[in-house]
Amino acid sequence: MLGFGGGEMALAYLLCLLAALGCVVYGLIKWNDMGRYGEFLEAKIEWERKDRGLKEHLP
Amino acid sequence: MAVKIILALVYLAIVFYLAYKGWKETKEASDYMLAGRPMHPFITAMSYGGTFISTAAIIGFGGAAGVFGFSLLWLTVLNIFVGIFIAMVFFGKRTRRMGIALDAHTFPEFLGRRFQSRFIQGLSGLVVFLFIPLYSAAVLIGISRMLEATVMEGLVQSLGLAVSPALTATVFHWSLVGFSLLLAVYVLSGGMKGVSYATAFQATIMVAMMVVLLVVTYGKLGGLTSAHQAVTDLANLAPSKFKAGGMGGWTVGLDRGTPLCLTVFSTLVFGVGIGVLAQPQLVLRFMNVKSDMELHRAVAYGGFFVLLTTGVAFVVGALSNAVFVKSLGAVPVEGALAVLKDAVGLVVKDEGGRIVTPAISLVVGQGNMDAIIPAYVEQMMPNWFAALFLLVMIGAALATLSSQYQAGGTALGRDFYEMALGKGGEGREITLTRVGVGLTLVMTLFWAYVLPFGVIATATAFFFGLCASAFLPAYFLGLYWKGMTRAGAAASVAGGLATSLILTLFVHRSPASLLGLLEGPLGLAPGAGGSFTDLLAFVDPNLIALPVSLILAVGVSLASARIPEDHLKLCWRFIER
Repeated sequence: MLGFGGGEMALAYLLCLLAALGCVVYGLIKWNDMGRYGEFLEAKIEWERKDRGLKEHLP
Repeated sequence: MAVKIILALVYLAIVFYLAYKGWKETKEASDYMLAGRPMHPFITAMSYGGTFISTAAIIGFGGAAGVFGFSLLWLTVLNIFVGIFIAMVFFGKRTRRMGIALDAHTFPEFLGRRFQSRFIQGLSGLVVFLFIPLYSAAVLIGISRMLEATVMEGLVQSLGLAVSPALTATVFHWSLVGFSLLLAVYVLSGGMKGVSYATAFQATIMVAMMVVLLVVTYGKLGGLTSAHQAVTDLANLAPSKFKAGGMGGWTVGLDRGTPLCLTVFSTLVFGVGIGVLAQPQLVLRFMNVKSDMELHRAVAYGGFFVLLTTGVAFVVGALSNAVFVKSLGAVPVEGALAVLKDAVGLVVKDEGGRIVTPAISLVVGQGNMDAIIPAYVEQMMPNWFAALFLLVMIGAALATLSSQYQAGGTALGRDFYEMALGKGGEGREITLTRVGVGLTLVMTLFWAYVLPFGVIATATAFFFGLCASAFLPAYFLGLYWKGMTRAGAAASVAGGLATSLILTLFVHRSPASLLGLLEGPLGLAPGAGGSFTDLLAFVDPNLIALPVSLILAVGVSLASARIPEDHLKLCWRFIER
């Protein structure tokens, strides 16, 4: 198959393509997904970051 | 040559500009170590991919594919599925949230704070500091082999010098030193922010170059199926000791239960494929991400990136056998090849009184698998491509090495010296980290000098496997299991590390390089296979050490005091509502 000497290599070759395709599909489906409790927790995280940033800049 | 120099100067100017841009934005210790956290998803994916996939993967593992064939593609499958999908979706998201909750700046610090243990942070830091130079050396050797091939080609063509082992060794050693100096300037001025921008830049160009490499290589052999067929047809040219060791050709699977199969799958495929999950310099990247959304998007970019880098490198590495044989035919067996002929059992024939051997990739690399991809690019690809490819590899090496030095530096300065020993103080973090970076650089150079030929893949696999055994159970269970205790984590890290090192030193028939399997007193006799205990010696130590580490993590956690509830709430405060 595909010029390989054994089916195992053809399988590995195709699985590489499928795995990459799977990643692309997953990424596209979840493109705008903020995750579980996304916006609520992201707001908390952002607040924490800013707070730490301000503290680090204190003299 | 002039084209190469001009292109190199332009490329380096861009990379250093990006490092300078990062340096200007490096204001605080946290910036230096974490690059300030928020980053664009494309930068995230490309810098993660560029740190993950480097000259070691392209040149070292691509060369291994040149020797052992398409079996290496199983590593690409794991690189994509485990190294990108599992890593980002199941590790990345939680690491980021927990890392921010704990205000962790390094991977050892993440473990230390999760388990409230200075011992874990210190030990983890020490492991990273002591062993990451071996991996860095693999990357440094990779780029130096590429520089060596380019410079030698230039010396031969421009000055008419004769190729000799002494000249080649001199060029290689100067490449090691020169590149290390370049890197020292780059890392110590840029910090991670510059590294991230530069990594993303070089990773993008790398993808384009790899696509060209693949298309041209398939083109040389008449298309996809006929190219594979051309390599299949070379099966009878495989060296006799390879056949005896379990390799029937470059396009068939390795025979099950043979030492070669155990080594390739347990060390290269499993070690690197799984070990990626606990790589300190990669875990750090998760903590840079702005939100889960960026990680989701990075999965899409990352899967594609790894396919087009390692996937292409391994395919081209395996196909290089057919291209070399088609272009060069057979070459005289003399010098290093005479030694190689006896070591691996090269196929030879008498051609008018001259002993010749088909120019398979191993022969063109003069027995050094690390030299195969550089030789292929220099000899078989157009001149302009060779120039640009060298630059891409320089960029990849700069990015990966700087991340490794950064990880080594912070491991010593912050995790071991400051946190575990309780020394250091306010304002000394950057200085201590920079001293650590310098020491990592020196140790890397040392290893690069003393390690033997064809070592890139095994050195890389050693570090990846060690990280998996020492860190993976504590890291994974720390993310998902509130019942994981401080004692369980400490036992897992120390036990996994000790098991891995003891097996490596006293049980594993560790070849200095993969070809060492076929050489010397420990080499495989024809028909080698042996008893179960004989074969056990070829199983990678980490295939045993990782389960030991996991059992210790669970067993000791179940029998020891739980982490206080308020600390668990702190760890999970950005994970649960």
